[in-house]
Parts: sequence; C-alpha cells; structure tokens
Amino acid sequence: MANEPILQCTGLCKSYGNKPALENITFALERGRIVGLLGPNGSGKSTLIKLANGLLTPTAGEIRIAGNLPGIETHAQVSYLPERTYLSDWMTANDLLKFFADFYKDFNLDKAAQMLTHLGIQPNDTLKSMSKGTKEKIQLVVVMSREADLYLLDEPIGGVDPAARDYILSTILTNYSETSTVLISTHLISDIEKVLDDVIFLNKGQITLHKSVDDIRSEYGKSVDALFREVFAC
Amino acid sequence: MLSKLIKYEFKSTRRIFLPALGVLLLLSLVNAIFIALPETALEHVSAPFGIIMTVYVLSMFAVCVLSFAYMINRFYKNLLGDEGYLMFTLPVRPSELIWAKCIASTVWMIVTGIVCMISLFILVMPISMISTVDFDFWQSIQLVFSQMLRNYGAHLFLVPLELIVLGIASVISFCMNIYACLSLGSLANKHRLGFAFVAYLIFGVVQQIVLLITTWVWNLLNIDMTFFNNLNAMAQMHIALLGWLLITVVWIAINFIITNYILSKHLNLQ
Repeated sequence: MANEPILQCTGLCKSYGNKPALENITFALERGRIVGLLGPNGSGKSTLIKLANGLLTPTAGEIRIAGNLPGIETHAQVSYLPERTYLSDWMTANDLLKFFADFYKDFNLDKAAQMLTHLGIQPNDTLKSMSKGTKEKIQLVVVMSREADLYLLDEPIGGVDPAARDYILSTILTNYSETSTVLISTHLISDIEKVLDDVIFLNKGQITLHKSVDDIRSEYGKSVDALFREVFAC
Repeated sequence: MLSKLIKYEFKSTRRIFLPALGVLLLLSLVNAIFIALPETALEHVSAPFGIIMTVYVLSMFAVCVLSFAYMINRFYKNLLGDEGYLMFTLPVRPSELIWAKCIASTVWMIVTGIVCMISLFILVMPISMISTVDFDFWQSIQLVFSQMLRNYGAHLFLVPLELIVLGIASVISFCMNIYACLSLGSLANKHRLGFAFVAYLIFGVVQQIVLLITTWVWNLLNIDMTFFNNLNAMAQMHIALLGWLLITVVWIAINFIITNYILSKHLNLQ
C-alpha cells in the first residue's frame, strides 16, 4: 500500500467542551514531502498533530496514518516531537537513548549518540541539570534518529536560539529519507520556508490553503512568509 | 513490551524507594542498639534515644505514605501529565502501560510492608535475646506447630497461602481502583484531581449500594444454608476466602476495564 497517503483526515472535528478547535478537516499527505503546517497561535495545529498521535480522540470524523487509525501500529511508524518537554527529569541523555532503542525498532542509536556529541551534550548529565533549550535539542535528536515513515514535529524550533535553529533544520533535512514525510508546525515561517515542499494554512480550525511552495510562488508571486502575513493580517 | 515497561517503571521508582527503605532499616538498627544497651547506660542517652525513636516511627509512617503517594504520582504524572506524550506514543498497548504501573506499585507496597515488618523484628530482637525464655520459646513454637500440623494437615499451609494471594489481589484492586478514578478525572477539562476524588467517593457509595442490594436479595431468596453449616470449619474457611478472592478479582476486572477503556478510547491529554 505504498501509494496510500501517509496521513489522511476525513471530516475531522475536535472540540474542547463547547469550544471547537478543528472543524471538518479533510486532507491527505503524500509520501516523501516536507510539509509546513502554518497558522497563528490557537489555530488548531497542535490539536491536529495530537489527534494523529492518538493523544486526543476526535469528536467526529477520522484520522488515518498509512490506512490505520492511531494505535500501536501507527506509533511504530510515526516519530513525534511534541511542543512541550516530555522527558523524565531523572534520566540522563544516555538513559533516554537506551529507552528509545528499547522501544522503537527503527531507532538508530549510533546516529543519536553522534548528534549529541555534535551538539556538545554530555551523555551522562541528568536532564534535570539541563536548560529548557538543551532538553528540546535532545528531544529533537531522539525523534530524528528514528527511521520513521512520518515525522510530526510540533514547533521544533520555537524554543531554541537562531544558531541552533539552523542545525536543527539541517538535521531534519539530512535525516529523513526519500519515502518519509515530515510535517512541521510552526509560526516562524521565514526560518523554515526554504526546506518546505508544501504548506497548509490553518485558521480557526479550518484549512484555508493547501498548496506546494512552487505553486504559491508562481500563483501569488510572493514568498510563503509574505502570503502568510497577508492572509493572517490582524 | 510489558517486561520492558516494568523494567523502566522499577528503574524510575527504585531510586526513591531503595534509599527510603534503607534509611528505615538503618534507623531500626540504631534503635535496636539503644534498646540493647544496659539500663544504666540507656539512662545517659535517653534524650537521643527518644529522638531517634521518634524519627523511626515517623519514617515508618513516611514510607507507607510514600508507597501510596508514588502509586498515584506515577500514574498521574507519567501517563496523564506531560510524560504521557512519550508513554502514549510508544508502540505499546494502553493495557500494558496500566499493568506495568500496577505491578510496580503493588510490588513496592508489598515490599514496603515486608520491610516495615523486618524493621520491627530488628527492633525487638534485643528484647528477645535478653529475655531468658528464648530457648523454651522456640521449643514451644515447634510444639504448637507440630500439634497444629497434626490437627489441620495441609490446611495449615493452604490457608496462609490463600491469605497471601488475597492480600496481593487486594493491593492490586486498590491500585486499579485509584487508576480508574484518576482516568475518570482525566475526562474533565479542568480540576482533574478533584474529579478523580469525587469518582473515588462515588465508587465507595456504589460499593455500599451493591452490598445492600446483594444482602437484600440474599435474604429474599432465603437459600437453605444447611449444607454450608454442616461443613467443617476448614472447608468453610476455604469457601469464604476463595469467595472473597473471586469478588476481589471481579472488582479488579471492573476497574481495569474502566481505566483501559478511557485510556484507549477517550484519551485527552492537555
């Protein structure tokens, strides 16, 4: 089923109490693309990604990963970077690497260790002693060291300094294979625009645009960043 | 995968429990040394002895609270908090996550209980050694034991075994009930721990109502119990213990099904 979309949403709705977060979302992602999920704060980006990971349950509609509803099979295929730190403080960086190697068959331990060294992170330091930015870097390292079919990265560059941003983006670019798909949610568009193949604009829980970056440039004659600023002008 | 989850559960909990239990044993040892001192010497150190004894009693209380608090904390923080983002995206079933937590907590509660008993034993050791009855004491225990073995035969081992199994099942059912409450609480958008507490109270009320109805129906049916009353005391004991065990297992199953259903079908991590 290689031609099946890696991610498919059909009539997907999610509300928190009476407050709708996503309304009737329908779209599909092909394999081998880097997709930007762009929208202002509170537009439903994190909700969508959490639904894809089974951390939230849809109010209506469904979301499928390679044809499956979120569950044990999809967890093995999806590498997810949440917008918050989910690490246990007592672990060392090394403990975390072993933890990932233990649970994910597609985890490349050597690659992860190499990346930590490159970022100057001591493998035996406990996570408690590290800054928030360092923890985010470690999280990204373990997430990108998996050879997954789908990477769901929620605000991967929000909390780190601009120098680290470049390293992270090049990490994302060099670590994904031709057949895997990367979905990056962010509002820092100018930083990631150059790596994107497609963009999805999400506004107030609805998709307002789903196009390739090339099409946007030729149709609108402007960059994604400029278009975003125009569409979401306050 | 369950064994890996259990391994990590122990890895993350032992760094709290082992030092705490170690300190408890150490304190009981120090107290035992004080108690072993001759009375004249003990008079001179009565103040530090009093303090150490108080600390010991408090630490015994503390480890019991710890094993209870950690059972709640591990489930609430590691599954329903931020760490849940990692745990629920592992390629494991929610039921495995629940059992890993339950098994580790049950083991720690039982180990805590055993260590408390050992520490009490250490504490009274000097007293039993000083007393002159020790030789007769062991002999009389042997005598009583062989007498009981003659009277009850295999029941002498079966009944304690049943009690141990029932004890373990009770600890599991206690954990599972708390997990069900925490899971029910997590369905709320706000005040999740508050709702978990309300769920706990409701469970208690429901239990009482079920008990009341069962008693009422039982009396109404007016079943002839002569067959039970004609059994010997040991058979009655077995039936009672196994019946109680069955009820406990059903209670575990109900709470597990509730927890597993919520974490599988209605997970809502904030």
